[in-house]
Amino acid sequence: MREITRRDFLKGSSAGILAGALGLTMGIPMTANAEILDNGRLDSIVIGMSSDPQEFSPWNPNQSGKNLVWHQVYECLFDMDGAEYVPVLAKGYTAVDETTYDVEIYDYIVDADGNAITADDIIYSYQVLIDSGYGLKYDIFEGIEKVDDYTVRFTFSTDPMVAIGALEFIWAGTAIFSQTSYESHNFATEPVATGPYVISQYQSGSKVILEANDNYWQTDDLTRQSHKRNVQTIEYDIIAEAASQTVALTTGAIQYSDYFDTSSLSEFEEGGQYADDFTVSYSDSNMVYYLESNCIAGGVMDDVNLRLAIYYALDNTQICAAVSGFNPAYDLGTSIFADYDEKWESEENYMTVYDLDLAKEYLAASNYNGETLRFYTSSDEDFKNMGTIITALLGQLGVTVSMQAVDNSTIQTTQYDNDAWDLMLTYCASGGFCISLSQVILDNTINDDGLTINNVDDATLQELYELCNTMEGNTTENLDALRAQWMDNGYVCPIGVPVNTTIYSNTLVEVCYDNNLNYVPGGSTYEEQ
Amino acid sequence: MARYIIKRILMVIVIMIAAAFVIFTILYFTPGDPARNQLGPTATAADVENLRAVLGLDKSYLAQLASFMSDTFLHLDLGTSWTYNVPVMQELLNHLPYTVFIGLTAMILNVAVGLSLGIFAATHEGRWQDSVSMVIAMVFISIPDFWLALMMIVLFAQRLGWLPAYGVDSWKSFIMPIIVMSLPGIAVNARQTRSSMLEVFRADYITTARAKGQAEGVVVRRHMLPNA
Repeated sequence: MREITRRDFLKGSSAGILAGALGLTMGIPMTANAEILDNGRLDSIVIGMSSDPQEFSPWNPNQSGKNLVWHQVYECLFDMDGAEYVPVLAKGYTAVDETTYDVEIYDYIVDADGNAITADDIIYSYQVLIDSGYGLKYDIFEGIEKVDDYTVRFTFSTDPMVAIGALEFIWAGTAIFSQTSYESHNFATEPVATGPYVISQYQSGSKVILEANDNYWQTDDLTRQSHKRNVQTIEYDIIAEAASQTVALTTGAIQYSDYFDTSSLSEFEEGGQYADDFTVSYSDSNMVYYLESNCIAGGVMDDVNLRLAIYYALDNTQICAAVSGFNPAYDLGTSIFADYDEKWESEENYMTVYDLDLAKEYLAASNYNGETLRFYTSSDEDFKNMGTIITALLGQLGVTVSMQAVDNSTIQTTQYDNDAWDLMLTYCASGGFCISLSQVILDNTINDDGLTINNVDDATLQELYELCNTMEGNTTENLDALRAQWMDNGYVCPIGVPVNTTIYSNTLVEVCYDNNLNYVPGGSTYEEQ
Repeated sequence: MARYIIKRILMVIVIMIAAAFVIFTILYFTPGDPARNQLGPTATAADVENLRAVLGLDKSYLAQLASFMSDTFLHLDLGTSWTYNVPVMQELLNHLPYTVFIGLTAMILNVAVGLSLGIFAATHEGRWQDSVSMVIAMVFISIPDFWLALMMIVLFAQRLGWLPAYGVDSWKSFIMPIIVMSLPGIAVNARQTRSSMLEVFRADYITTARAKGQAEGVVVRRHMLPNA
């Protein structure tokens, strides 16, 4: 018998180990098969989430990952549907006078722990939010008091029904929860609320799992679509890289994604490798990328001819085509908003017309003496690419800019430093109305210096904005007048609207979105695969 | 010896205090408003000021520094995370097990594979085994780890479906991160081990050990490696 040498042993065992490893790992299915349960719900869906929610406190600050989960776990007195306040926990509201409103809630509301919600809990919820410091747009809120066990009275400084969305945060953005639950749980990690889903598992940086709330208080006939529980288990997998989300889609690890590698999009579209298993959906988002000029008195951009020169030198259509994933913007709003007018897309102005000759005429009429303009933009890829193209286009005009691509936090701070910038490429998002999105740019009451965010001092602009921001004043005529005011003066130039592209498996038949265009898995409909 | 240890511990404390001071100061003067960043562009100036007051950001630099230093070093309280809204220590402890596991396993691999490769190369100096080992080490040290990570995801997760592309669901989730983390260390260890081994390879005591009839493996393990 041949003596087995050490070499033979090592060779053989290596081959054996490799074969064993291959055997263990091959053939393990990675695709989840959708199944409709006896209760009519889809058993589970896995969704790609690009940013970690981080925590689940009742307040809802500027955080995209948390937004996806927050609206399924918490409920407010009302939902926003366009400009309407649609009752959820509340039965409705009654005006006592112009600045005082009573809100009555249902008397059978319970949270996931079975604790009943009463007027005392509503008042407690508002106090917690105010004490947290995260109360947004609470400037008209003066107080809340108990009328009876299920009715509270709100007092405001002005009539909240005049301005569009004045109660968006106060009534439709303040989570209601039981004081008992709040004091016995750490809501940052394990919130207990009245929503259709509860958080059953959260691994920071990894996943969030929601389960249908078995104690959900709403009756089927009263439940709004976005509050339904059409899925038993919703899993959000936190995948920060677009390329990784694409891989996760192709392996079946996730069934829905709105953040993926766009260079792979063709593989999911008609004729692509995965077209049979996936649907690609496109829509305008609720976001506008715009170029604003720092109109501070005495500054280099305090010159309407220079501003108009710059804007007419920009070809929005080509910029959006070059960056890809964008449609040209025609207003400080997008086509999904209720007050958007399609006729704006064919009007001739600096958003629709690229005219270098006209731009040079404006430049010649301006006081520009060759100064280098300080141009700030975000360091995110889309912003940087747009900024680079804008810089090149302005170079053709004869305007020198120095582009600084910085992180979003620095952008926000720089915006409020009047001496630090001349041009800024940034974005704004909103829900419902163009005028709501315009608020950040046109409303001079947001800051405490009486100027808009880009230091415009224009009383006519403010009057027109305030008029359009009312239900009665939000007419085509008034909106046209407002547009004319900021366009004639060149205060801002909307550039592009990001296209919301989502890819989802064919399990999803009809997608439900909330007012902020967040996908609502529980409200969507599914079929078995 | 005890005096030396105590001295070093005291130095560590002083260094930590100095580092905390420097980092706090740098972050304090770095552009950016945490309150505005949290609330977003729709927040009014009043909203921002309100949150700044709640977070203590409206206090002076010295007041904030004093509060931070006393909480951290006198009360061992790292405070509550503004991002996660939970105690900072809790958040650190949540992530620590994964970090320790991946780091420790990568380190063990560094040593085990790196040493073995270095010894193998040194004991076959000048032959093809040495060349191949050093080419492997050079490749490991040259490949950017982010590129390697992406390529492994494409191959093992997407194409072969053997390993998950993300997450920490099971032991398979740790394979790719550990491999990517350990390769540069393996390469460095292999090259250094080979170099050190070759320095002692021709030492007189090694020659003596061989002359006495000791097996090569024993010579490597008991005489060369410890001295290398």
